[in-house]
Amino acid sequence: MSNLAKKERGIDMNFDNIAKLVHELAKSSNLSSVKIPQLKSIREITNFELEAITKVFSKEELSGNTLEARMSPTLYWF
Amino acid sequence: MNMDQMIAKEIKLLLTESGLSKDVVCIINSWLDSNYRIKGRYGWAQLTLMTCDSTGGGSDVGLQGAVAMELYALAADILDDIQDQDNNDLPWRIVLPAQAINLATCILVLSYKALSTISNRRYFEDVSNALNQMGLQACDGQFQESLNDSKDKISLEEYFEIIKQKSGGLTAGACKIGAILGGADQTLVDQLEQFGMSLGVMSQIKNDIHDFLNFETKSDFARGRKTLPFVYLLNVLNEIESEELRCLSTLAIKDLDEFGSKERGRLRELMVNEGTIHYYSVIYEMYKQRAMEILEGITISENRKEKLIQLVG
Repeated sequence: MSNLAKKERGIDMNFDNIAKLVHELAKSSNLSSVKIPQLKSIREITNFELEAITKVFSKEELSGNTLEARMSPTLYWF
Repeated sequence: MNMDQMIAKEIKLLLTESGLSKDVVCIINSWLDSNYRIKGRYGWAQLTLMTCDSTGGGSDVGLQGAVAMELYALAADILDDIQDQDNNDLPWRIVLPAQAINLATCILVLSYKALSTISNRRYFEDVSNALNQMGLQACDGQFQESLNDSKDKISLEEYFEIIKQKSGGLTAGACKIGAILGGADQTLVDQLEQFGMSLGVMSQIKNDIHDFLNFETKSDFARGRKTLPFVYLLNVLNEIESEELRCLSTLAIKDLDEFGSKERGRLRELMVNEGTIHYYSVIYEMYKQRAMEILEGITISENRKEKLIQLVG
């Protein structure tokens, strides 16, 4: 399987590029769904990754008071 | 008898038949009890048994592998705590380091001994290979992580490479061992191993976020450990803010008592305002999605699949 195919299937991920995009979105006052695809076009991000970013940013804005909001695996090991 | 009781009984039997002296057995038992109290379950053994069950194997065929995983993980935890000078109130941190290392080695050997009663030779060989590979990867990851402590900055790619080896490798190993003992074919073994890898990464990044600001009992930040929030911030902040973060880190490492409410507040501010939680959530979501896709693609009964889905949350 090629590296691109691995990335498209979520086997490899663009961790550093995702961070840059997430940072830009988190710092932006306008988190419109229009902006995410625009930013994607200037970064190497797969559709699989874009879906996850869109999903997170489409939910209510996270704040310090919701640090626990997304920490919910039923079981954990570490 | 529930799952944990079965596991406890099997461990007790292994210790009784080990030929170890009474005092050594007593200490190992107390460490196992302590670990159980903290975690509330034999999580590693349970994961192995659940995977074994999902592929059609009963608890009886998975038990040796489950016990081996539980003991292996305890030995690894003890050695990690000694290396990291962490969790000072745990029983293996109260005895002399030389004794703790000796007993951790003993537990590690017991882990391999647990496999020796697997009657199917092919399963025995495959599970032994899986345990060996998992152990080598975890040691490699732990070593790389310690090297990174002294670096100014690492990339997120480097961070994830290490946690896939160190943490993902353990959960992947547990799932692989369970699948082998359950009689899964190679394709299913590989799929469940990948499922385990996703579980491990999800669990580790959650732990990293949780521990970052936990100054009361343990703080990765105060040790300069390159965990997810720290690595993320070092990679996205501008030069001035990065320098500020490094100064905060230096101060926390030097003397945690000097790292007061003002500094803690600033660190929390950086963590929240710069998208750290968003980044964690995105990566968590991707691994969750990947785990779900793996489960959708495997051919096991819906009832058994549902139990694995519940692990993903």
